[in-house]
Amino acid sequence: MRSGGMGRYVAGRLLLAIPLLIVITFAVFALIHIAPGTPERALLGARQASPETIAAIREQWNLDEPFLLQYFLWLKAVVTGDIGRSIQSSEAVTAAIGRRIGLTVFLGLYATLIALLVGIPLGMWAALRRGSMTDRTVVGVSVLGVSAPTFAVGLLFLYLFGVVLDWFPVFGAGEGFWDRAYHLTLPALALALALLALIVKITRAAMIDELDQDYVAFARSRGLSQRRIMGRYVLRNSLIPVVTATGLIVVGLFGGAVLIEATFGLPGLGTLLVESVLTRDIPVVQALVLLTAVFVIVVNLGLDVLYTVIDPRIRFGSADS
Amino acid sequence: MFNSNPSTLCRGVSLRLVVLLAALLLIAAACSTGDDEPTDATGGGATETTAAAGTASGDIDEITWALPFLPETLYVPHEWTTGQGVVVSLAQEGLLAFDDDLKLTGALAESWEQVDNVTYVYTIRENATFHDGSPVTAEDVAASMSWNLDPENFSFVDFFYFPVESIEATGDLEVTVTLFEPDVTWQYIPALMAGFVMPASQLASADIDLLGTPDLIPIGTGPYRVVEFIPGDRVVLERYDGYWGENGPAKQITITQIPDPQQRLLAMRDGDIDGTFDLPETEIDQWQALDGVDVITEPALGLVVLTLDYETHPFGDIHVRRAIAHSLDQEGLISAVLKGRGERGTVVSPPDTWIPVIPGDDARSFYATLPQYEFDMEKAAAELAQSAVPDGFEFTVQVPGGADIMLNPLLSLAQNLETIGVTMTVEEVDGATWEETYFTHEPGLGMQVMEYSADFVDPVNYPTLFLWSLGAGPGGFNTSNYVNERVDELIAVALAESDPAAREAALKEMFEIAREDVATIPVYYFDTGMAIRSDLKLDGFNAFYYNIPWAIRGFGPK
Repeated sequence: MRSGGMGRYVAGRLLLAIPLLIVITFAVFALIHIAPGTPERALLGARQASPETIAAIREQWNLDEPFLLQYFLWLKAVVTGDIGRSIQSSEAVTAAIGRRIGLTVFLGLYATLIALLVGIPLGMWAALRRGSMTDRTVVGVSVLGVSAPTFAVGLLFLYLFGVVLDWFPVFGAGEGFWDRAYHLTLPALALALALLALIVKITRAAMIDELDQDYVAFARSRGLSQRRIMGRYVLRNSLIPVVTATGLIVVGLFGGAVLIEATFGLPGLGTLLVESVLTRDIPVVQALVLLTAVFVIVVNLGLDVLYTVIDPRIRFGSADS
Repeated sequence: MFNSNPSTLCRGVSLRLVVLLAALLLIAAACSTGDDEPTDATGGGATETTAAAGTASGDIDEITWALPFLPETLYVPHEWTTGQGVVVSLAQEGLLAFDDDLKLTGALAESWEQVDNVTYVYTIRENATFHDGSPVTAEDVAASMSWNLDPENFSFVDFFYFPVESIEATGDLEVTVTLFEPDVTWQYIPALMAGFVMPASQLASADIDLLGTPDLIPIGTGPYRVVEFIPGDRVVLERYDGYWGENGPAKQITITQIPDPQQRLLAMRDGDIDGTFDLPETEIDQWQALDGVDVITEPALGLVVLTLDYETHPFGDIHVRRAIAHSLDQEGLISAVLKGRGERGTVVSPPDTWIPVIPGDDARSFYATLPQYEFDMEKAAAELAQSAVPDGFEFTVQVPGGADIMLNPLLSLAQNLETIGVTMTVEEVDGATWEETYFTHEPGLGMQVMEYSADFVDPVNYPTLFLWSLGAGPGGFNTSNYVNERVDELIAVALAESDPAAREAALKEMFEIAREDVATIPVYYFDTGMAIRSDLKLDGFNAFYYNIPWAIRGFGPK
């Protein structure tokens, strides 16, 4: 593998990311401005405000400038490292995000871990028992999981495990690693349920493909144990599509995280996004959109690179024999 | 062709993937849990002065309180919400305060006097100190209050100070406030959140933009001091033993945010929280059903009202206005929506706001003499038949989402109006959109719905918002665009006159005119509810729970 090819590929992708980020942040910026309601009115709420107060707020946040200029000012600031302040709280956006990002990342990773640790074995099991009752049950349950709305699942878990059985706390994010894990188990489970289905189906399909390959039949005929065939060869080869699917999962996490955080009252990035959209807190919305877009781009790029590491047959640049 | 290399790499990958994820998890955990150190809000050790009075027996180490929303900032001129009030009213205070009966009492001021009809003099008590131990001086009071006079500061509570010409320190412990014209409502302002006092040095600081954020918490004089503030998560307060007055039993108070009402209920049920304010009015019965929890309700001095824009056809027609008034089933709504806890709306001022003028029950008797516009669809139809639109008409009303107390009356009204040929479409929008339409009057007004809670206990409060011509036009609350010269005159009298009898006469005449004109359609006056663990009490709970240091007002073990 030519390392030059890889480096060029990554550089090319990162370069392409820049116009993409500009388009995304501009589109969101435009949407917020099109929506009725203004930041200063959201800030003042339902109370009287003198025209001077309104004018002063608008001036402070450049809200009277032409639309394109406002966007350009924001872009300029971001490029020089100034992410801005929240209109609602006057706090630095980096502080507001920094305070909440740990929780959302923890939740996301926890959910991904559960989805992988449960989904992969389930997919394997279903593939090995292909066509049987087990297979149908596993696939059926996972389809149920992906179809059920995340917030409904969240509420169900909350009621069942938090209230009726009293196994888990009902609100809050906990302090300290283990307390946090305890508090976030129900939300992570609810979030994982939808992702689980994807993992199960992909693992199952990939494994079925592998099990049909010649080398498996060959290995069996050579007398290798089922266990060794599965463990050393089939499973690893099946994981290639799963790694790819992980990229999709990570993106799906964001939508789910917003709903789950709202359901469980968790002060994470999801609730911050919802609140800042409702209050037209433009600097915060823009920062979160940027963060999300960068994250998705980086993760997908990372997985594409990982893909080449996993399977040396994959190359970038020119076609190799 | 089968190649063994990918499988060896794959083995590494699957293992590595899991390890990588686990490592990221640990890092995330480390990042997210490392930020819970309490910030020292006063920037230095608090000087421990001897307690002014012994704390109540039955000390409680810690209580946890919940609110639907925590403030984004602890600086009142930058936010001004009830959630903020519940927090800052423990840590900050002004010259005056409201007592358990909603009457004015001294706080930082030990006495005050109105020397003439535009001049008020306040004498600050000597043993009042800020949480950093420094004494409260007239300069601090004057700086804190007059900050709201400067339009450059764009204070959110500047409108409370519109009557004020100047606020000056006229002695070490004396502050004089001078108004432009006599205004009987000024006397309450020092008791409101808008009158809270901070050290002049904090206000003069260059970092004034940060004031209220966790980086620069306003230093107060109240019975509790803020030791930790995490917006969106919690505020932690500790009892301040240098407080000039009698302090409360709780040594530490944690106020946490639970936006979802069902979750708040569950948390109360499970004992995760010791109490909460601002119960959803439409779900009070669910809270009352909880074991080990007491629910207390008090009139909120609050109002849900419908306005009908005179300038939008056909709402300028008195028969249309009467028809709509007759179509509102107020009793049914109080029973179904408020679960019986509320009163029929007659005019915009809830009866108990009359207390400085006449007792609340006398106001109720007066309201009974006004046109009642009782719920009667036949009368509604008859009125419509006399109007300019006898065959009916169509219109749309916007209501903010998540506000059943406003939504349900509209839905009920729409159903009733349909039977007489009026098609009313109720549109739920987000809060920002609704506020935008209400205050900018774009794209048009028609019928509007508003929920408001009294700023202070005086019957002229609501009329200045909804009936005064000065409140008409964009930015004001008078979205009926109701303009009546006589009403304006009478409101002016009620503001300027201090003699209760003169005020009573003016206000009564004003309400008679407004009710005759159907200037607005008040729906109901609602209650405010709180929940508390059964073994605790809060005797001082009243309509201004968010503007009093509630944790020292009859709070403690039973």
